[in-house]
Amino acid sequence: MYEKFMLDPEDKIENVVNNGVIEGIKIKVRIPYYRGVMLCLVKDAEVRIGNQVFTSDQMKFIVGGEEYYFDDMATITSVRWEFGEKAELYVPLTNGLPEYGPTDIAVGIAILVSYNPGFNGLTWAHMSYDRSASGGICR
Amino acid sequence: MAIKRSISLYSYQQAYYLGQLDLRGCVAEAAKTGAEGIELIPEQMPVGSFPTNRQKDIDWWKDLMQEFNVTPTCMDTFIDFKMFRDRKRYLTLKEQVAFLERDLKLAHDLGFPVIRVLCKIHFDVIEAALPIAEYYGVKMGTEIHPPVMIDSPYIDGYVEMIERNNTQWAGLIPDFGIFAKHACDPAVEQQIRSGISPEAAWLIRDQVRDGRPVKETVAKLKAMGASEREIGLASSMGGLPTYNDPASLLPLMKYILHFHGKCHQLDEDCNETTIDYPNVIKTLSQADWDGYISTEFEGQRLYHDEGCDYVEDEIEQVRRHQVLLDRLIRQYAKN
Repeated sequence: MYEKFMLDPEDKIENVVNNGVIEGIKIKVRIPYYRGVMLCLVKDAEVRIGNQVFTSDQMKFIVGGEEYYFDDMATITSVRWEFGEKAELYVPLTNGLPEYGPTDIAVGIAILVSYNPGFNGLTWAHMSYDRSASGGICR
Repeated sequence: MAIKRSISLYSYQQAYYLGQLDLRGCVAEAAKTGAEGIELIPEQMPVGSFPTNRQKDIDWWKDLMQEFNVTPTCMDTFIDFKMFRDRKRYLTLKEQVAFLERDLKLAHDLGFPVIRVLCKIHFDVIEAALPIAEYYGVKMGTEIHPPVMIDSPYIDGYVEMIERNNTQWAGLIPDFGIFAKHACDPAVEQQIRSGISPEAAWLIRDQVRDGRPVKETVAKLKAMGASEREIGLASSMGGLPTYNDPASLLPLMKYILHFHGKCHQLDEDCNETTIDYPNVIKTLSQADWDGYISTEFEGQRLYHDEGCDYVEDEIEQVRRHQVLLDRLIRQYAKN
């Protein structure tokens, strides 16, 4: 659920710069579920940029202005990702996105739903993003 | 004794998600329909924050209810019993009861007389929480939601627990989804967009509508060379019968605390296209059932797949559902 609204094409994808080097990017994403959850229920994420695949052990999850590693999130019960709230995925994409031209981006999020074993895999959203243009085009 | 109209703010979830309506805006829209009651999922639309309930937020909520002349009817709760997934264990009975206590207290503070407990929660948990519910003066209603049928060992066992305890603090919340005659067109169309062949999707819809056994549906699908996914659809939620005879509510009537008025598609004449509202409301009226039916519109999600251009108008769909409820309540009123 909410596949077509997880990514907002109007959001900018930010470069994360350290000592003048672009170390990665931050992608904003909303929850593919109908309520907010404790971070321990955000069980997996994956991002595909062009041909590159980033799994949850390579990324960080940013919500409420604080960063978390996915490994740590399994035990976090006091912080929530609220329904409709834009969290960010930090993706270690060296040099960031190309300055010109569109890039295909796919973001997958899996929420642990205790009562529904059929709804526990990654929910995917796709967009084509162009840094030089106004932003993204969602599928 | 009367059937009264309520709205679950769940119905406006898409507008909330997209930032078009905040919690206050949702209540304002609900009030415009003439509904008297408000149902809330605090984990979806927190009052201030969840699970913390600060006095200033409670005061704000109570003022909001007063401002729009509406009353809290039911609060929907969850127990994430698989939350410690890395430990490969479920929450213990005590841990689950602790979550229920948190939610019972929140419901009490916000003025909700009833909470909805998910149908997957074992009734041992509800039984253990009975004294807590009594302490807070909030009743616990287990949902009867597809694929659970009214005539089922699950409901029998639950009712047996209520009777054994002779308690008013546990009851039932049937969801009108159990009176759906078959999948609605937008659901079938979404299956087709997801890759199910139109022939298979409409065949499964027709088989459910005509009350044919799942086995026969599967055999027909195999004969037409259907994929495994299509056969899976026929034997899962998408292809299982959900229609319960409204008369099967009669022996349960005294345990029913509230109803979820599930709806997916209201046409221009304000009829739900697949759920048997007339016969259920007629049955409730004749039995003098007293309580709220909350509109629980869920059809917006049938257009959330990528590539689907249509965006459902929740506000209009909820308005139509309230017109339907109002019309049927008046039509079948006894005097």
